[in-house]
This record gives sequence, C-alpha cells and structure tokens, in this order.
Amino acid sequence: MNNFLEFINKDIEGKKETIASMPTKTKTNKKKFNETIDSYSKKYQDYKEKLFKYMTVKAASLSKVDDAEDINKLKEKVVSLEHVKFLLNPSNTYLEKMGFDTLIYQINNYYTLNFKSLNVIINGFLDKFEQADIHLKSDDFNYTCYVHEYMTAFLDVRKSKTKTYAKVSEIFEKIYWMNPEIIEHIELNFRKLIRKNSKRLNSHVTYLQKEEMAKYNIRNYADCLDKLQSAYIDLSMRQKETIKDIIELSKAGAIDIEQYLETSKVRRQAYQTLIADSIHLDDKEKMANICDALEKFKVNLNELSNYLEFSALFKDFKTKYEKKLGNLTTKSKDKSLKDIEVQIDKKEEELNKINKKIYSDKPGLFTFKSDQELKNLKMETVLKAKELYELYKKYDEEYFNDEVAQVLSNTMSISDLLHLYYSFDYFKKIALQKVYKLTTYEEVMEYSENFDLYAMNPSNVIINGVAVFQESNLPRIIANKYRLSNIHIEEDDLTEDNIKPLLNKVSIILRTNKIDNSNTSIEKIWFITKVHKFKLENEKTND
Amino acid sequence: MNNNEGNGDAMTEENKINFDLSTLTLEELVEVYENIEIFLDFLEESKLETEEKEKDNE
Repeated sequence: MNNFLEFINKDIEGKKETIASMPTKTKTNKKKFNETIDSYSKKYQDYKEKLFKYMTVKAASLSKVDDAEDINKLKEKVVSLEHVKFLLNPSNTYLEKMGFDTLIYQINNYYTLNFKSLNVIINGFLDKFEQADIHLKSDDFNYTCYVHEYMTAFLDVRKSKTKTYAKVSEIFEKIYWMNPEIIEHIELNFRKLIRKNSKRLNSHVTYLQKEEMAKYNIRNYADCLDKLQSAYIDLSMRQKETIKDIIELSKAGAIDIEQYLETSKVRRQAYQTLIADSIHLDDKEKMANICDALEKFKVNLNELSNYLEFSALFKDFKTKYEKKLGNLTTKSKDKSLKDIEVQIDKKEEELNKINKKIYSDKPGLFTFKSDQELKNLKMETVLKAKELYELYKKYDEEYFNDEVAQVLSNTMSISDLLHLYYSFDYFKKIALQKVYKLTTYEEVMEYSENFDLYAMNPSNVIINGVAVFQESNLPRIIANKYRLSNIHIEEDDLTEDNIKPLLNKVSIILRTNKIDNSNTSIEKIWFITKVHKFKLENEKTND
Repeated sequence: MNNNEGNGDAMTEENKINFDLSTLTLEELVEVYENIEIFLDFLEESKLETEEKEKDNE
C-alpha cells in the first residue's frame, strides 16, 4: 500500500474495529481502553500536523502567481485629476468649489437631520474663509445681536485653541430661549459674509485653479477631461481582476469557489442560461469573443444597476421640469435671481439700520436704551431675519432654476442631469433627501456619495443617449445589444432584483475562463482556500 | 510524508512504509486531512469516564 489516503482509511477502519472489540466493564478495562485511545490520538495528531505542514507548503507554492503591478500611482493620478476637474468645472461657482454649499446644507438641516455638533459646522465655515486668507472677527457677525453674542463667545474659544465649548453651549441655551431661530440667524450671517467676500473667494479659487493646472500641466477644462479619460483607461486596464485577486476573494469567503468547479450546478446553470446553445464551450476562440462581450456586459449591468437606484430621482426631476420645457429661459431666470438679490440687499440694509440702533458707536457693545425699546428693536430684527430667510430660500430656488435653464431641453440626457446634480451638492442633497425620504445626514451622505461615484464613473455609456424627458426601455436596449453577441438575455433578467444574481453568473463565466487560461486551476484555488480554512481553524483551536 | 504506521496486522512500527504525499491529488489531500480530523473527534468522544476522572469532576 503506498497511497496515504487508502492507508488512513483502512487504518481508521481497523482502529475503530479494535476499539469496538475492547472490553470496558472493569476499571482495568477502561484504563486500557483509554490508553489505546490516547495512543491513537497522539499518532493521528502527529499525522494531522505533518499533513497540514505539507499542505501549507503546497498551497503556498500554488499561490505563487505574478504580482499585480503597483497601481497606487495611477490611482493617485486619477484622484488628482478628478480634483482638478472639480475645480475647473465650468457649471458651478466658487460657492460649490469651496464647499460652502455643503456647509449651508448642513446648517440648513441642523434640526431636520439631527446633526450632533453645530461647532463642527461653524468651524467648517470659518476654516473655508481662512483658506482664502479671510479671518472673520466677532464684528463680522452682526446680523442680529443674538448671532453677535454667540459668535463672540465662539471665536474666543476658537482663538484660545482649548476647544472647550462648554461656555459657548451655555450661551447658546440662554439665547435659544429668547430666540429659537438662532441657528437660522447664524446661517444668514454666513450667507451674507459669503456674498460680501465673493470677489476674494473667487480670486482664491482662481489661484487654486492656476496652481493645480500648472502642477499637472493642464491647459483648460477640456484638456483636463482628456487627461482624466486616458488616466481612467490606464487604470482600468491595470485594475482588471487578477488570479491573485480571485484567490484572495476565495480565501476571504467573498466568492464560493465550489460554485466554480466543473461539477457545480451553479456553474452549469450560468453557462446554460447566458450562452447560446450553438456555442461549444471548448471552442476557445468563440469563448474568448463571448468573454469580451461579457466583460462589456458586466460594465453595462453595473451602469444599469446605478441607473435603477437613482431612477426615482430622475423621475422627480422630470415631473418638476417637464412643464417648464420651453418656458424657462436663462435670461428671464437671471433677471429673477437679480431681483431677489436686490430685495435681499435692501432688507439686509434695513436690518443693519435696526442693528445700528441697538449697537453703540463702538462696535460690539450695546447701548442701554430703555428695556422696552431694546426689546422691540430686537423683536424687529428677528422678524426681519425671518423675511430674509424666506428670501434666501427663494434665492436658492431661482439659483438652481437658473442652472437648470442652461441645460433644460427635450434632448437633455441622463448624463447631463448627473452632471447638473454633481455640480450642485446642495441641490443634489435636497433632492435626494426629499425623493428617498431620508431622515439622517448619514443616509444623505451615503446616497450622495453613491450618486457622485455614479456621476463620475467614466464607463457610463448607455445614459449618454437616454433622454430625461422621453420614455426609454434600458433593459430592452441592453438585451437586444447582447443577443447579437450570442449572449442570452431577457428584459426580465434586467430588473433591480435580478441584476445581482445575473452579475454572479457573468462573474463565474469570466473568472472560470480567466483561470482556465492561466497556469493555475479552479481545483488548485479550491485547495488553497481549504488549507487557508484549516489554518484558521487550527489557529482558533490553539487560541 | 515519511509515515511509519501499522494498522495492527500488516503494518507495525517496525514495518515502516514511506508515503509520498505528492502522489495524492489536491482533492485527496483535503479528503485525508478531513478524515483524520473526523477520526480525532471520534476518538475524543469515545473516551470513557474513569473513576479517577469522575472523582476529579466531583
């Protein structure tokens, strides 16, 4: 007998028979019985250890595949170019490029989305001003006397760098009971300061743009897009899944390698459902063509999945702006926006006059008028601030309408809509919050980040030809396209629920093909995975 | 594996046989490892309670 498996099987059988035939009645019998068991255990523990050692060495030798190239540098290049693209985006202004819109969204939704810290948001605003070398002082916060009091205390703590905001919280509480709209007043004050400093903020953005363009040798926005596209292509070529990746996925349990074995029902079904009967799986040339098509199909499936995830947002936009097609002109909107700006300026001036009556000649101090007079003046500022808050809301609406007007047409594509929301974070988040009924900022962030990834995805192709205001059947378009490449797809396979299992089938075929054309095999990966599992179990036992 | 074992009749400690594990397929290696593990569990469960042990437990 020279086969270890046969030997072990027979030896176990023999030892079991020996154990079964041993007397166990007396104390001596029992003792001898246990001694036998212990000697068998010792021997088999020894076998296990030696075998495990051999299998570990074997698995390590099978795991030796060519290392993937270091793609970190390429990833960094893509991230840097995406940042330059963000800065040069011609669709938005310094407000979005500096992220002020995101902070306005946060402070605007402080209560609705249960933000934990107002300090973080306020510090966020102050940091952004400081980036542009604008160092705000307490006298800049004179929208109302309440903002002044609160921000004076806040800036003192910020300046001291102790980050002990306990005293500020006390002041907030005291003010809150006199004026529950204190956060709105802080928001209004920041909005005013942003408008007031628009020239300096704009210059800062221009400086950043020039700096980044020089750093990456970029001439303009179009040049940036070209460079980014070629960086994406480079990256995606080198980022393709390798055998090493497949081994790691299997070891980590992210894929079930048993589904890839030739005997697996799942693998058989994947081939049967997706590949036309007329194709012989042994025909390497045809299979290579099919796998090329499946690679593209997989990319399209991911795009479709993203499209379906945000289809409610697209529908919401369509419903809102369909009636305005042809009526919304840039000129008329621009005028409305300017009208509101004039009204805001006028009202802020009125507010300023009331504040002057409250403040003494020395900025930052209050004159002691009669209590009633002071109370009335303060009440007047609160009312004026309320009107201004409504005006800013109107301003936001017109501001976005103005941007929409620039791209609104019958031929507006989903791709245009993605770019629009991607360029205006504030409006994107408002829309996501409303459409998906989101109640926490974490949820908003999750949707928003997924949306941005989708909007920035360079492999989006289908949505370039899909019009927002026309009915499109994306599943049908995709299914028809791939039938021409001998891939069996029905429209029903391309619903939100079916995409994930479909992607799994596609991955099984693609990975199987990749493994078959490499110097490893599915069996070897299965073995490596098993040994890895044994190793983990042994480590767990030893702990 | 330089394995030296007897099953009580043909193979004894003195009757040594060398096993070449490289002749086993990957599937057989996993199978033999799993069979050994199962047998070790069986042995562990088969052990009898002796009086000494019982006393210890008390």
